[in-house]
Order: sequence, then structure tokens, then C-alpha cells
Amino acid sequence: MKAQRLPLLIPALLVALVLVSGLSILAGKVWIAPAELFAGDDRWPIIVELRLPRVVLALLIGCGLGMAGAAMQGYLRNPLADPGLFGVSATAALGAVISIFFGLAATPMVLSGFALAGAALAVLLLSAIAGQSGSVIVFTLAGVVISSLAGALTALVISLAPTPFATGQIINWLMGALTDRSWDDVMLAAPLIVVGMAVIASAGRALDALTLGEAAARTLGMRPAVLQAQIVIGIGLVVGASVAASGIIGFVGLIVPHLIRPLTNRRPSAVLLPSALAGALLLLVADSAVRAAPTVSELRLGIAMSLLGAPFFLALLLKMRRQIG
Amino acid sequence: MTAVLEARDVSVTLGAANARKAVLSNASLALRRGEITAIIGPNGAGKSTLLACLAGLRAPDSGAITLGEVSLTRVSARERGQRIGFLPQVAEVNWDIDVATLVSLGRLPHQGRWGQSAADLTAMADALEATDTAQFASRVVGTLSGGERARALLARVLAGQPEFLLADEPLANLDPRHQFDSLALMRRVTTSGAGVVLVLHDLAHAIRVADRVVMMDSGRIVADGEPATVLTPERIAAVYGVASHAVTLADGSPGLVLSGPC
Repeated sequence: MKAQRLPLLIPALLVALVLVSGLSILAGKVWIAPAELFAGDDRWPIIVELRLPRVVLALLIGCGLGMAGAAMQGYLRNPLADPGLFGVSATAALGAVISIFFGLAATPMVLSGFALAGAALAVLLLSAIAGQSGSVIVFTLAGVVISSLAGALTALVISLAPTPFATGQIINWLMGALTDRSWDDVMLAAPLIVVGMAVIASAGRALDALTLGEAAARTLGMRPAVLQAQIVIGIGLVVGASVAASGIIGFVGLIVPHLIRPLTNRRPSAVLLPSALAGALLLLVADSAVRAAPTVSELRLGIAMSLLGAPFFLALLLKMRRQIG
Repeated sequence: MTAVLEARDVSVTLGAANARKAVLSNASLALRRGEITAIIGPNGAGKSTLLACLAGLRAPDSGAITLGEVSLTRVSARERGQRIGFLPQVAEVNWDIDVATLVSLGRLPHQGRWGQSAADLTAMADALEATDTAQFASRVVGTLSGGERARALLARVLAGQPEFLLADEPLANLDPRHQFDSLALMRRVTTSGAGVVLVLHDLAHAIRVADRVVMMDSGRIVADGEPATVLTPERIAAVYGVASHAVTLADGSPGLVLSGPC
């Protein structure tokens, strides 16, 4: 009857986050030993202006995507659900790609603004298509439609790109990374992700009720239209802001809730917070690894996550097939 | 006790505008706490629809459902959840939760934002004890036998300490012994002051266990009263097309034997 099967899960994740954050700030193509720093090192700008915003952004986006994934799985009652399913990230990416296409991306914040506008558009479309029904199936199908439409339009924009340079820039951005991010990016993403996470967290009880199916959940006080609004707005904010800051980084929302769920009592609300922390941990470890890895050009974070995520997804599928069969 | 959950002239129609079919026509029913009401009738009679209306799951097309003289549409979803417990015909349980967690979900309408209170924990412990499920509280619901599972699902509803417990065919998929056990449990629930409403197919159970039987046919309530006065051979023949005769069981309680189509 405890909230957590492992009562130390959250403290353990917090300790790990602090340790990895510290390491990540010190590590990179140049290793900066703590002792040197406190002896008046002139490399402080590397830490404060380059590594710190990148670490903070990885933490924020990881937190948001981890929690968004846990909420999606709870809402759809499907362990294979991912925040990308609703088409919010695809539409946000389309917005960003359009800004690059028109050569507007050089101006600060324009790309982010376009991405957020794309996310908002996806949220509005989702609400318009799914309507007041609150039906999970209609909602998911609406997400699939929006997602494939955004994907097709993105491909169209790429094929129409005016110069090979623009094409390269679009593809480069689509792959997702946290390279060369500044405090401006943090300032834009942070409030949106934090508010989005708060909205998602407020849906915890309704997600718990949904464990017993839609009808039983409604007799436990769950209001389908309210829950749907919480999910759309919460995931829209988190995923929109994440894509605006980093491009598409997949699989975090899929993998993390899976690893966390067995460590809890499996109530959807009990999975939310640990998934946020573990998402932050996963993304920070992955980003630090691609940053510190001795490769000529940095491996893109989005690609690294997909290389990690796809086999995981496959293993999951095979395990589920065995359980069914 | 006074009537608190009431249906007044409730009608529900289904289907497209040009082919509307009345599944419930002017059904009126006042449910009292402390007694077991069995809703019976052939397939398609509108039993489940009536129960869904009473549970607040479906708004009637006309007529009203009232809870303590207040229209159910004016009662908040949360308060409705606290006062009316609903056991669906087909139970869905996701995420491989254990029985204790399942039962804790029954407290959701009562629970505050920051977790469970002492009252929540007491109600959960009481529900586990009443259903004799405490011994497998830490087992995953999916690993239970059919009988154990039915008890655990009932414990979930009881944990909410509802004023009314509505159960849609709670005996389906249970062997005879577990059917009797479940009904005995329902009887214990009424002694604590709750009203129990069961949709039943087994007329012998209805006549034996219910305080009151509501018989439905083609969307209408055709009889409502004491089991022995409702479940007459003439009415059973008219509604079900089945011949039957009343018997007296060894312990003096009324019984019913069905002898075949008529």
C-alpha cells in the first residue's frame, strides 16, 4: 500500500542525478579537474557558458520526456506508447523546418517560436478532431493522422529546399542534439517544460483510475474531457518546448517508464515522478557520452538515443510476444 | 430507509436518427439502502443500460436520475464516485498491479492530492478483510483464480464505502460455490447500510437472495416487488418463454425450478 515498492527509488535517483551532473560539467573534450577550478582556473567560461546550459537543458528535456512518456502510457494503457504518438513532436519539427526553409533560423528564438507554434497547432488539431468525446481511440488515431501529415509535409519542405546548404541544415537539425545551446535556450524551454510537467502531474489520480478501464474510471470520478485536456496541454508544452530546444529526441519517453514501472507499485501516478528523474538521468548520461566520446565530429544525441532505443523496443516486443504466445 | 437513488421516467434510445431503437422506456425505480435489489430480464431487456444510467455512466435521453433528491447531473464526478460504487460486467485491470494496489484505487474519489489518509488505509484493510482477500494482497491480480479475482474486484468497490453498490452480472464466470459466496458477501454489505443492486440472470439466485426483484422486458420495467410475487410462473413464461414452478427449499426459503421452453 506504499506509494513506492522501493521507498528509496526517488532519493537514489536524485543522488545519481547530482553525481552525474557534477561529472558531466567536468567532463568533455577537455577534462577539468575540480581542484584546478577552485584554484582560480581561467576555464570557468567553458563551464558556465557552454557546459552548464547544456547540462541544465538535458536535465529539463529528459525530465519532461520521461514524465510525458509515463503519462502517455498511463493514458493509453499501453506500455508501447510514446509522447511522439500524438504528432506533437512531428508538428513542432515541421514548424522548425519551415523556419529554416525560409532562412529565418539565424535570428535567435525564431526557430523555437516556429516549433512551439507547430506544437500548439498539433494540440489544437488534436482537440478539434477528438472533440469532446474524451475517447482514447479517436484521440490516438487523430494523433497518428497528424503525425503522418506533419512527416509528409516535412519531407515536402526538405525536397523544396532552395539550397543544398538549407537541406543539410534541416536534416542536421532534425536529428536532434544539444550542441552549442545557450542560456537563452534554457530560459525559453524551462518555464514551458515545468508548467507542462505540473499539468501532467495534476492528472495523476485520473490516470490511476484509468487502470480499471474507462467505464470504471468514470465511476471513480475521472472526467474524460478534463483528463484529455490535461494530457494534450501537458504533453504539448513539454514536447513542444523540448523539440524547440533540441530537435527530435525519441525513445526517452518509451524506455524510461518501462524501466521504472517494476520498481513501483505500477500505479500510473507512482511512475510519473521517478520517470521524470530517470529520464533526466538517461538523457544526461547519453549527452555526456556523445560529448566526451573521442569521435571526430560529435555523434548526434537524437541518433544515439535511437540506436539505444530501437533494440530496447525490439526486446520489449519479443518479450510481450512470448507472454501472449 | 428512505429512497435515495432514484430513476424517474428514464428513457434511452440508441442508433442513427432514422432507425432509433428504445432500449429503455419510461423506467422508474427507487432504490433503498440496506437491501438487495435484483434486476432481471432476458438479454436486451435494458438491464445494463438502466444500471449505467443509475451509475452516472450514461445520461438518459429523457427523465432523471436523482441521488438524495438531487439530480445526478448536478452531483460532482468525485462525489458521485464516493457515493455510488460500480462493478462493471467485464473488469479491466491494467499494469499487473497487485491486489492491495487494486483495492487502493477504490479510494481514489476520497483520496486527497497528496496520498492516502488513515481513513483510506482503514477502509482498504476493512475491504480486504470483508472479502477475505488480505492473504493474497501482495499477489498480482492477473495471477489470481476467477473466484479470487472476483473477490478482489469486489474489495476494490467496497474500499470506496459507497452508499450504493451497483454490479452488472457479478456472478458471470463464477462456479456455483463462488456464486453463493459472492451473494453472501453482498448480503453482508447491506447489513452495513449500503444498498446493493445486482443485474442477475439466474432466477433461482434472485428469488433466494434478493429483498426485491425488478423484472424488465423490452426496455420496460414489467414488475417490481418482493421476489415471490414478481417471479410467478405466469410472468416468467410471458417474459422469458420458459416454464417454471416455485418450490420451497429445505431451509424454508423460496426456490425456483425452470423446466424448459414453453
